[in-house]
Amino acid sequence: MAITVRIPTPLRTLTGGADEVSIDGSTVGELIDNLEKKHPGIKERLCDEKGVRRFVNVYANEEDIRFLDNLQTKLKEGDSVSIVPAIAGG
Amino acid sequence: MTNRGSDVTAARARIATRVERSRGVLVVGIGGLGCPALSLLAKSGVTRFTLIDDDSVDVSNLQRQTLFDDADVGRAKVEAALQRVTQLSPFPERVRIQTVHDRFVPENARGLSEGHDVILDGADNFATKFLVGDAGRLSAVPVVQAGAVRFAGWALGVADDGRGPCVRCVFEDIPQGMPETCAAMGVLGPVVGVLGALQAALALGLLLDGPKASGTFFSYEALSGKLRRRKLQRRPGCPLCSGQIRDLDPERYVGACAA
Repeated sequence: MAITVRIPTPLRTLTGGADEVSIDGSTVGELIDNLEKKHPGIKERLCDEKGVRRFVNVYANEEDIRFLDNLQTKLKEGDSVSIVPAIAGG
Repeated sequence: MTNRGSDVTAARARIATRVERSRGVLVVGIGGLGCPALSLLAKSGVTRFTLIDDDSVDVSNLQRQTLFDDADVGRAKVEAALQRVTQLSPFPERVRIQTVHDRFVPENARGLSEGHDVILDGADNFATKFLVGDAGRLSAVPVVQAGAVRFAGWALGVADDGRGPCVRCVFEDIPQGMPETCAAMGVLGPVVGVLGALQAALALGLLLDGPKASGTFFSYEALSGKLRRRKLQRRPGCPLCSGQIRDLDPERYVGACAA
């Protein structure tokens, strides 16, 4: 089940520069595990032992997963997931 | 062009009259975001500003800090901005600008915030961005926040009705261990241009139309040309929206990216 994952600029060094990757996963948690297999190092940037890091936002089809089921949020073929980290510059 | 549109002219006059009832717009940080936002607000009729920044214009700023040019290098940003904004205003004789050549810190944040119509966050670090958000909420002043690095950024308007959502509903904590999110990475001029202009538009929306201009999170990606908007919700457990933050304790604003 292919999900489109939008990769923010700071993490593209881990995806070979790709701004979007297609990854399988029936939940957001599974998707992140599969993302890690393909692009090692990315999970640590997104998650800590408690779940998604506090300064990272993950959206499943533009909905914040905090208001869905967090890492257990279900995904289906054709869904998209966006990763939006905190950005501080100005 | 002679026909500037009577409705726009009327709106600018309404904006000027509106801000002259108070201290106007507080701009925290006159950098990549603050410059385009300030220039557009001034041209739109905002005549009252408080400008705070402790920095001076550096030659490396000029590619994105659009209020300044070569002759300003070495000058305090607030002084150079004061002069430029007065020139840009359609009502130069009505312009009143208070300049503060200092950092926006917990000790001065409440006093600087109170009595303004809107606070515009042009800070370049998260500690100050959280401080701006908290000071706005505690002072009942709407806030327009944004951040940008390299080719991407975000913007968010927060109303003064105390109901959120706020920047702490989106980013729960000051980022640690993600240095690519800091100002030191640099930013492309047009990225802060787009986001600063969006901040100016949100500020005018909050000024003229109230909370309708709040509650939407914008994220912009220049290289792919995408501007996304997401409706925000107040996050249960947000320390600001739930009332846990009642003061500006300096310990809360120590950040990995503090510049």
